[in-house]
Amino acid sequence: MFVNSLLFLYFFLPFTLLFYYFATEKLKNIVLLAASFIFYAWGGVSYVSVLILSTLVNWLLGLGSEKSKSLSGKKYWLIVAVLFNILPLLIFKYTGFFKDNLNFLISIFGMKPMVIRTFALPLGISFYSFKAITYHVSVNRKETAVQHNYADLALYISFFPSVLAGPIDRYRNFLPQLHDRAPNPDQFASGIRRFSIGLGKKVLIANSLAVITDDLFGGLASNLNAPLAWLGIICYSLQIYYDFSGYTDMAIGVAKMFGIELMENFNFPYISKSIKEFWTRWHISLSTWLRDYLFLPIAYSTSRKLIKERYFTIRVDQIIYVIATSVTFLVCGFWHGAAWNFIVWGLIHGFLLILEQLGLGRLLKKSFKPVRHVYAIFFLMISWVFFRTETLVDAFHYIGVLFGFGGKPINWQLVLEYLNTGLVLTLILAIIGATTIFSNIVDWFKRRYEDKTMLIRIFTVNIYEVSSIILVLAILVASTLFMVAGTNNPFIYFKF
Amino acid sequence: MVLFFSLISVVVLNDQIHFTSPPKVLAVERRNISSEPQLDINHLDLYPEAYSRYYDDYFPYRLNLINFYAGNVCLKFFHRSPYPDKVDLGRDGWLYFAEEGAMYKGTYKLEDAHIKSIVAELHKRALYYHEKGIKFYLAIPPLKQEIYPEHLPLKYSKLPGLNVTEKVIDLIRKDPLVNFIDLKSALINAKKHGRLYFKTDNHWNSLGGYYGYRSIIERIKKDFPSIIPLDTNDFTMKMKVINGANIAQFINISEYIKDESTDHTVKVERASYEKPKGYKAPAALLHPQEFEVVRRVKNPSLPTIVIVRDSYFYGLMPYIIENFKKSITLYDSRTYEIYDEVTRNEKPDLVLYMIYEPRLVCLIGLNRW
Repeated sequence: MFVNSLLFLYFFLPFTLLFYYFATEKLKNIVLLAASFIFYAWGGVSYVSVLILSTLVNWLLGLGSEKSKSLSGKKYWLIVAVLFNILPLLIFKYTGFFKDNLNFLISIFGMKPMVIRTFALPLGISFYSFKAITYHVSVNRKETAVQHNYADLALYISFFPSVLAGPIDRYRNFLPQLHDRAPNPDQFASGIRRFSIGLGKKVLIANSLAVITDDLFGGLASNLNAPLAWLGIICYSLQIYYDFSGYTDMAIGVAKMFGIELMENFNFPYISKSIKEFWTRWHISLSTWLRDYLFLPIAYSTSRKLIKERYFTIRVDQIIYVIATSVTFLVCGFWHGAAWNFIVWGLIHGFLLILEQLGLGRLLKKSFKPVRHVYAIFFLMISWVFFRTETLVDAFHYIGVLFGFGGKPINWQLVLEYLNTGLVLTLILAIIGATTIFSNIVDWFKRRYEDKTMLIRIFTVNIYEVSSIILVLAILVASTLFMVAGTNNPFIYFKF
Repeated sequence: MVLFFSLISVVVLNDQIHFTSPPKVLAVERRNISSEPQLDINHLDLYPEAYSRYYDDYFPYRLNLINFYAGNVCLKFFHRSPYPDKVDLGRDGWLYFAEEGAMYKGTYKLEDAHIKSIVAELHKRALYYHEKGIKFYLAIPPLKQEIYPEHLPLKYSKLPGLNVTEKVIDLIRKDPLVNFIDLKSALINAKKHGRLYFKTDNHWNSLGGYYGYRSIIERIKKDFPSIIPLDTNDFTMKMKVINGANIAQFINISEYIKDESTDHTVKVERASYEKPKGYKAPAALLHPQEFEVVRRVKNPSLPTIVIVRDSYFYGLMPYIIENFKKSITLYDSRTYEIYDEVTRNEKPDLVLYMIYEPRLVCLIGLNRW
């Protein structure tokens, strides 16, 4: 089930809330766990067994590690736990990739391709596997105790708002909320607001931009020219942000309705002035996960092996940074998808981060602010090409067209045809919404009337509250309209 | 919070007591409304999707909301197609089916073997009739995109080389048993006489049908000189404004967009209906009552024709039936079969296969409806 579906909004969510708030304190987590399994089962009943098995084995592995007294024993349990979570991910997600590449290699030597079975990817496996790993690492680092209650651990791993697309919440953040939460009306109302905004971001903006993106990236061979290619990548850059951050907002909003605070995942990433800053604002739960569980351990272990201060005149800390960043972003790219495109995307980000660390960052800091923004946005957009296209050849072709190589002659009328009222309005809204303009206006509004008399303050606060309620309702109604329209599948009787 | 729950409650309550009008699906969805699925332990994987579909179908005011979205939000406000993967908004109010566009642009591709199979299927029919001494004619009503590319969205561009239809026609022209009638050239030439296709429908209108008819009948007349083709003096023409036609209906904007229809009435109608013989129809007909339609003109000097056709025949039907002693039209499941029983009983002088361009692929069973 998707959180941006009618069934979720008008059936699953209200009934889950109803059961949850009528359940006794002891049963609340059970209600949430049952709801999580049902929610997950909606995406594939067979795969819910994979999720249940995963939660069960992770729980047992945690108990096993507790039994072990020695540090090396605990480390052994941690390795087993990490492998247990990584292996299914490798099998389900990457078998096809390895098979295709292996077959390509052996075909060079004239050998017959190998037949290896591939599997359908269980939804959200990349997310819940990483959550399970955070649990084991937390326990191993003694940040938290081993969880004895299966339902509690299962709820952390499979909590329905975040099981499909994150945020990859840390166990240490989630644990205190498992039994000590007291949802209040303010938190609930804030959850509704957050959910509605997320729904609007996904349904009204991301889905509308997707139409243009699909058309322009899908029509690579036909009529793509430089301005259209730029329009396509601008739309895609905004689409991916609104899609993903919209989903995160919905997840955070729904969790709030149950009194649970999930970690933030986005913080206006497109206002970044460097790639380094971008990764502090984009998919924060993943970037911090990679930092804590990959980058820092690699950097630490490398630093122990490199004992000199310099190697080939390069400072050792820079070498460590290069190694740790390269590996981290290789993994980051591969985590996003089992294709060379994603690997290249990750490596581009890694490469830019290394450049910034080695001197470009210092240069940027001295530069005019808009130049820094342009630098960041430019390279982000170029890297998104690899994310969106299906093959590296397509990606390089698209980038070529962006710069006037290999595209069709420029036809401004065609560009204007794409830029209809709907797209222009959506783009304006999307670009403004991706900046802090709206939140700055709200802050200014609040500050402006802070020192006014009580009467004016009450009046202005009410204006703000009422407009915010109207906006939220309007978004909900408009999103519902778009979702209902999505259920219509006209059937053209002469399908090609 | 109160407003949020009120909104949700309306829907939830409606699920239980159905206070809105009974739910139904749109005609263009061509399916029955979903029934509540039963949980079957052996087929659990199917249940969620079936239940979601059922839930969506019963969503209150579903049809009203879909129509509002398509007409007011997309067409009027955003000026875009509500379903861009299904329909392209052309210029000046012209609509085009997107899937037909793939055929026109050449992005719909077939392997050479498939092209040859289509040609072989046509040859098989031609040979069958040839062996029985019956003339075989083939007319392919062209896509609207071919005749009116000037109204297409600019993003349409044909790929270099021939598209599927052009490849088939290229080969079929070389078959001496097939009398191919080039409707595309005839219609392009006739554009100066008026609009030949509906703006909001993928069919030709009565005028387009008439020029299609002229092209067909002039070719047939070469072999059957007793035929006297109708000309524009033989019918009256009446223009009327209509709601958006089949493409507009397809995306629920029929009431938001207007079109023009020209009704042609033959001044002296000589053809009359005759009771069909009741030939065995193939299974799964879209319009079973129209499988066999027979008309007769009391003029023994005229030939008898069997027409295996699709919906494009409607446009030229009023004219063509006037030119034959007996016309038997067969509207099958768009497989354009050979009807041996009909041939043996009716002993036609000629047969005409009218196959709408995108449906050539139906001859080899590809992507049939």
